[in-house]
Amino acid sequence: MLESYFPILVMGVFAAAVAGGMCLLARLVGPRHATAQKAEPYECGMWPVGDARRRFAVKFHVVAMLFILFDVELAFFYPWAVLFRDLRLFGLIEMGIFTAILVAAYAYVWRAGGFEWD
Amino acid sequence: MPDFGLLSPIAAMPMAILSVAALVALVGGTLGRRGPAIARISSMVGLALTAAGLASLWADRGSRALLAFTDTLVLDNFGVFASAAFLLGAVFAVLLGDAYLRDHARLAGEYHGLVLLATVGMIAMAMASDLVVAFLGLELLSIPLYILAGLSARDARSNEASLKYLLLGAFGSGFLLFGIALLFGATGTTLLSDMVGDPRLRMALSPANLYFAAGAAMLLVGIGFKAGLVPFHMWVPDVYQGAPTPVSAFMATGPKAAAFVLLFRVFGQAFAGAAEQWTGILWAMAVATMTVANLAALRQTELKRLLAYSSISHAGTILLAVLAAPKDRAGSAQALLFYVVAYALMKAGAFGVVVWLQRQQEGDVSIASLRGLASRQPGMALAMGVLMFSLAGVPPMAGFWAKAWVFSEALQAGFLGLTILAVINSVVAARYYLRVVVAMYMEEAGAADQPTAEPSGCPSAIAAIWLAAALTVLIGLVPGLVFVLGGQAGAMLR
Amino acid sequence: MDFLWTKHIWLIPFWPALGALANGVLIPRARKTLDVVSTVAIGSVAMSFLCTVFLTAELASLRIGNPAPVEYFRWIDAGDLRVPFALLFDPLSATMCLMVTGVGLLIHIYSMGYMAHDPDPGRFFTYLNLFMAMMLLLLLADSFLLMFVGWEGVGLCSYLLIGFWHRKESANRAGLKAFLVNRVGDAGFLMAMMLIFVTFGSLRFDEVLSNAAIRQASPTMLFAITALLFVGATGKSAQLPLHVWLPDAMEGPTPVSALIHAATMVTAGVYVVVRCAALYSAEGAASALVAWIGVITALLASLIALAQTDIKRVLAYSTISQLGYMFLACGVGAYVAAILHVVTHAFFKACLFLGAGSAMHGTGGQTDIRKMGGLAKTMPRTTVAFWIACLSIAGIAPLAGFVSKDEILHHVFVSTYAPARTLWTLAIITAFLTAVYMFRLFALTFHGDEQAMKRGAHAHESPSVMTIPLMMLAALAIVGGLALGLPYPPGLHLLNHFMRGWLIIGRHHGAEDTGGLGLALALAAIALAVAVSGAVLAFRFFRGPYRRVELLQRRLGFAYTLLSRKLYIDELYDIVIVGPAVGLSRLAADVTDTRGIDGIVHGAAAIAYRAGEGLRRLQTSHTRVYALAMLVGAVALVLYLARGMLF
Repeated sequence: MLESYFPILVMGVFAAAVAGGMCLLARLVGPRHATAQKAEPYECGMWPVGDARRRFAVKFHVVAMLFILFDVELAFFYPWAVLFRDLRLFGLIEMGIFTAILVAAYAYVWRAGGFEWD
Repeated sequence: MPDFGLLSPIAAMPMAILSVAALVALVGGTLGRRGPAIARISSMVGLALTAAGLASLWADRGSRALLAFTDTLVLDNFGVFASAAFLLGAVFAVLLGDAYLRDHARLAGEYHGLVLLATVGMIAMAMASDLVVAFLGLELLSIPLYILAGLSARDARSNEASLKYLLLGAFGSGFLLFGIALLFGATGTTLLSDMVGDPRLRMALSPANLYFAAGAAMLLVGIGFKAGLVPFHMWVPDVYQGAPTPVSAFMATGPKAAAFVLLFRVFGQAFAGAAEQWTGILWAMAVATMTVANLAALRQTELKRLLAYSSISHAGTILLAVLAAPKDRAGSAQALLFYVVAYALMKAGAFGVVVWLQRQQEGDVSIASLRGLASRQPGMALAMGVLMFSLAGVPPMAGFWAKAWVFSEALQAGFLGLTILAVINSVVAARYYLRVVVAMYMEEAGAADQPTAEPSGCPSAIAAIWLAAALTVLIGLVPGLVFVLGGQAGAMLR
Repeated sequence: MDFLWTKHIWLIPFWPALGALANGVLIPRARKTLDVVSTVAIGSVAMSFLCTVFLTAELASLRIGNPAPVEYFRWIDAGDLRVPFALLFDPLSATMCLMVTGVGLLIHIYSMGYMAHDPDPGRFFTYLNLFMAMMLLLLLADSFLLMFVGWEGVGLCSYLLIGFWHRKESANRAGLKAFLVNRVGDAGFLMAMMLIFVTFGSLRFDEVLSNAAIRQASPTMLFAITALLFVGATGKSAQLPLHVWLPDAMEGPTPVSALIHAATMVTAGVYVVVRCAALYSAEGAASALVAWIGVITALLASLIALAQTDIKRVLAYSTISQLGYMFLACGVGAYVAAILHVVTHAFFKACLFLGAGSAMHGTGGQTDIRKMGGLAKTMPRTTVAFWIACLSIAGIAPLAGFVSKDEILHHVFVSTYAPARTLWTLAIITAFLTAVYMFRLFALTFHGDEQAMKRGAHAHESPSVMTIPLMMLAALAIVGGLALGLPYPPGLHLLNHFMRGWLIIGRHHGAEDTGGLGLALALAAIALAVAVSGAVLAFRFFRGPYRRVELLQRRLGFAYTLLSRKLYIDELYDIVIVGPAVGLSRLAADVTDTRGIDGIVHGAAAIAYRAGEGLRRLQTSHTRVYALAMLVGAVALVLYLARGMLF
């Protein structure tokens, strides 16, 4: 049973070997001259200002999270759309419950101020 | 269109009711000034209705277990009993939550909604007959807990607890899912009921099958994390200590029990045929869990941490029931269920006392804060004393019977050495339980331990504590009531 | 016929138990005044007495010789051993319960007056009620095991009540002595119970005491069982050699002495023997043992009583002596006569103790009879009651003591047991001595020479709450015997008729033919003559100048010292038993326990502690470390579970 996975194992080992080998070679053979400019972080040609340690406003995170959640909900609608005719009433009720739960979640986020940007 | 018949909605009914209640609480909690009240009422109503629903699902003696939802849910008394035990934990969580929500009223909706959702997850785990459904239940249980642990947003410890729980929990869930995948590879199905019944699959559950072995191991990692077994236990003290105390109480009662119920269904029921393979490692885990937890608890001074280690130690003891399952499924199921109920009561009560103490002072609640409690508040000291004795396994409290039956099952299954080790561990554990009692009754409160604030009333917490203590004693004196029900539950396992 | 009461035997011990609970726990401390606690206590005993009366009336009217026990709930059901919680109300237990509740009620009322100035009446009445409940449980139990519960319970209450004035060192020691000596007897009882279970397979009376079962048992076993039961009885009823605790028990309050150490608890031993009459009459050797121990105890105790100077101690030895009579009766198969003597003894002994208490109360707590005297004028009611009781115990016709003692003597004389005549002779001598020491006591306490009379002038009579029970008991001491045990005509002997079941069992050792009226009258005349002569002799002698008494004491010399020092039995026990026991326990405590066992225990604890400290350090709070631990665990699990394939 395991024999069929053998090629995958070979490929994995091969990939690891190539990638690892390149890093190893670079470490062994590559030149090493560190300068101040080379150690600076890259900022699209501009001079870096300040350090990178800055607190992110959580609103970005919230937006991203909400997007993911409702986007996945959307993703679940696609199969339903495809099989709409076969699933008929059962599908309607099932997706209705699904949507209702998410509408409740939506209502919650709305009332709890999740959609406020500031 | 799949034909579900009437059975599936009936099987899903408790979860459905509770989910609706959870959503109502969640959304209702945001409705301005009435929010907290709406949340509370909907959670209490939801719990009551679910309890009624579960009661209606209780089958008579001699009935067979039924499968629903294309065989992914099993309707048997075992699941119903376990779900009732989870509801008990949720009830205590609601009662104890009042004290916390008094100061954080805006969080009422979240608290109640999440507790209920977690309970839905637990019920799903208890009634699961399919590994994917079990995983779903586990996640549905865990994610609300991650949030609940971090509910005190301003408290650094709470944030720490939440983050640790999330990271390590995700890690554990990863293992669990990988294990399920491997098991699917080994047996071709994720349905536990098929694994139990089908003779062709028995071969798959043999020591010769690497996929099965690895899958079972991963499964054990994932469930062991939730149950707090060594070496997956290290998150428990930090998370229990950091989370708001009512949440710790909830975490100590329901989720742990749910993990064990799942463990029993998977290893005790489905993999029972391959018992020789996994008995050894579970034996080692049980011993290690009990020993490590007890020894570490000896040096604890902070109450929540102490109770956390105590939970781990009890988890090790419950594992004995799973070990005995292949030899006597009904009996060990009975012992397991009894332990779960008794344990939920004891822990909820103990954490309840911590909640009550926290309303009187700032900072950590340590054993020193309990000094001289017997003279200040004799009633509370008595309740705590009863609970401590029950945790230590002293008759005539429920904890004694719980330990006695688990030990008796283990002995009947032939685990003499393990039982002896478990008993020795009980003795060691008694030390730190009795230390609490000694502090309350035989020590004087020092000047530094005086309560800094007047104990403001938290009647529901006090009610919860007394309920827990009274039930502990009652079940201890008349264990037959719970035991017989547990027996009926165990008898229905296929 | 509707059995209204038969099912409710439980009510009898219930009321005192409720009273004990109320007085002990339920009533708040502030309300525990004498009035409240005594009302509760007296009320509960009164209720118990009423229930007993009703149950007895129903039992008598139903004319059932051996009623069935009433099972209440499943108590012990372990393998082969099945002992339900069941109570039995047959003529024997009915008689005993009537006596216990009736006399107990009178003593409770008396206590209300006696303990009027005590600071802690609540505790007293709680213990007293608890004792009643336990005693009634003992009497009503239908199995050896349940009886043993009551047996231990009364022992406990005896200990608590003897040491009631716990600030007194002597009282504490007396209580401990009573408990420990009783323990020896209890050991015998326990061993007997185990043997009973092994032989008969059950501990319930109806299964053990049936003729069929007994016939199948081996004689050796029967002897062992009866002998061991008797050991238990010896402890509880203060017979030789376990009698040493009873005189010391007089440290307790006088109502306690009256109730527990005269009328009720000490008769528990007699009750056991009579209850097991079927066993004893099947075993000749054990019955002989009982009879001999009984008569020897009776004789020796009466001798010792002659030389005691503490009023209560005289009565204590008198109790021991009279109990010996009861065992003598059992030994010759005269079980009903023994029970009759139990009842009459309760009447007159309780009257004597309460009278002594009244005298002590009137003289301000004096117990030395040499320092009392002359109370006849100042305490008339007490004197009359005490005098009546003395007449009764001495065996003067037609009082209760005479009737019951004579019946015992009669049965001893006509018994088929070979040395019966010797036993009878010893018993008659004891009767003589009884009369002598009782009237010595009476004379010295209430009369005496002129000096005594002067001392007595300062005394005052006790209040009615104390003297009325006294008078009632005196009345019972007069008529009780004839009422219950009218010797002739045979049909009118109430107790015989009521307990005819025991008459039948007793016929095994007793004579078929009781010798007819002539013999009975002759024996009665002898007994009466003996008693009267002893009484008159003692009264005249001790009423005279005390110098004569002292002269006699000096003349008797060593004999007198021997008797007054109680035959040095206590000292003997001290050297032979107590000394080595204490030494051994000191060895165990100081060496074995402190060094050996404590060392191991503390060492183990220290190891656990250090291990805990080490483990605590493992719990760093780094999430990475936790995850690493999980990973290591996962790898270990996989390797273990897959071990079959990899290695």
